Amino acid sequence: MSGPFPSDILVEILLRLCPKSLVKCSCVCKSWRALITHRRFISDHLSRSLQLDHRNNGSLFLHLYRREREDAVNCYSEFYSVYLGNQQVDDLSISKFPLSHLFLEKYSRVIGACNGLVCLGDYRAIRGANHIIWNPSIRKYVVLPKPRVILSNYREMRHHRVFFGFGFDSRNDDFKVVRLLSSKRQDTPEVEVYSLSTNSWRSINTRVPPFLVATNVWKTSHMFVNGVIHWVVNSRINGGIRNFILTFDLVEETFGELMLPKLLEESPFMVSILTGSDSLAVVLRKDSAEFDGTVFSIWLMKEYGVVESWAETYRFDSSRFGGISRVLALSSSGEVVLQSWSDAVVLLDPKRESVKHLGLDGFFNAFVGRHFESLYLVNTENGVLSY
Amino acid sequence: MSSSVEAITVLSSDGDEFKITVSAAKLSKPLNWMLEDVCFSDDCDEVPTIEVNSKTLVKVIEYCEKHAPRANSGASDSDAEELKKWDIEFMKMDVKDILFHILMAANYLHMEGLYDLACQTAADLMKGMTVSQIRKIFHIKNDFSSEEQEQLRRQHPGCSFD
Repeated sequence: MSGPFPSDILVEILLRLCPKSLVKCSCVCKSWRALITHRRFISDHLSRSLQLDHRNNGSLFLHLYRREREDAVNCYSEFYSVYLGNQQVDDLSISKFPLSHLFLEKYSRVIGACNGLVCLGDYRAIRGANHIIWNPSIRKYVVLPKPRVILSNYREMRHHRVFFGFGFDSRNDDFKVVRLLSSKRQDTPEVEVYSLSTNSWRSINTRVPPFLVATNVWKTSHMFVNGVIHWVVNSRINGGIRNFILTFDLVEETFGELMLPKLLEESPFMVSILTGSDSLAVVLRKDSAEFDGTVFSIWLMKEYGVVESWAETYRFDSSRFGGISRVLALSSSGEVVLQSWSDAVVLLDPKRESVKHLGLDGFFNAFVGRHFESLYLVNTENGVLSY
Repeated sequence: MSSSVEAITVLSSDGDEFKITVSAAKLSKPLNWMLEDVCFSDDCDEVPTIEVNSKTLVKVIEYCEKHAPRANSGASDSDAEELKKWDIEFMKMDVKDILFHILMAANYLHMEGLYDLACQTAADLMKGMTVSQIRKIFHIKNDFSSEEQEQLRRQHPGCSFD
């Protein structure tokens, strides 16, 4: 064989490798490094990963806490795990979250997971909250700069609510974090957008539909689908409180609203968004009229943007499947991820009504999102660090 | 010659003669064209040459003959399972043969199935290799300076270099 290996064949081989192996291949020579770290290759690799996900029946990323000692209140350890849809549950391994030390309060929360990257933040750190974007597949992360408007003390914190969204701007091939800071004194929140490509925050001036701030930021988790971030929020109408979905388009950087069906609209504080699947999904929690427990019902917006397409797809009560305390997520293959009474993560297959124990016992406050393997952050520019 | 021909003869780049059945040749567009030329031309003394060496052409024909029944008629799930196992056995060869012979041939003969199988096998084999092993099989010279190499090692502590 003389001359270099044909580059079109090389690309076809490399596209079939996992990010970890690609990092290794990027150390082979300069031309391979240029190829693997090229934007085009990274996005083609993700497209392939997306196709594979459909064959693998929906993979999940899990971020979990475990209380280290029964008697200690603030003694937690953070872990993460990746569940591949076609994987044997026995093979599921759990790793210690490697970046706890970056957070002032050593207590981070996942803001969101998108295209192989996970965004985490420590909302309670008043001396400028810490945020990071992390790629667990290639062990790289970037520490975000501080937002422009920050709260300086606990008194101010009591008067403000802050919440976030994380997603991918496909037009500009860029990851973005949006941060809404609302004060009780002011109607419109301060909105800032962070872009990974510039590694900076900027304030944006755009109309935000009036909404009430949820009492607990942690309940205001979001879902990123169709290039848009979605939060379930409330508004006051004719003296009553109703739910609606606040949206933020990451490409246009504009806010909007999506309606919920009447039953969900009229159940304030009982509706949460469900991450992990391809469709916009929410869960409604209602106290049962017949027994002492809660009824969970899962709703999907089958056709994006069409209010009439909201449909209840599955309903079960909290005493089933060994006892359920929370619905955590929905996988893209339609499995429901549950937290059991005994703090275990359980996968429920609604079609067969069967449950699969993920073997993660004693964990709580789980974040579960969709998992992909991607190469984003492989470039060492813009303050990306490895560990 | 009529279209009832069941097999055609081709020459490898080394000049050896090989027989390939009509149904197997359908897996490759270029082979199919050659077949049409042979079948419908009045002057069919000429034996077409395929720019693939004998050793590789044997493998390619073996693959075609195995996959032809399924490609031409569709197959049941159990057949597909059996074929998958056969593919794995078929690909048990030196990684250099896969990269420099099978892949090139599959590319040249427009054989999508074999190309995909060979790419995936090569990728799977590369997963278990170190950086220097990969350089060796692809005949690549390490063009990083020693400072750059030190930096790469620092940046990728989990990566196996030697």
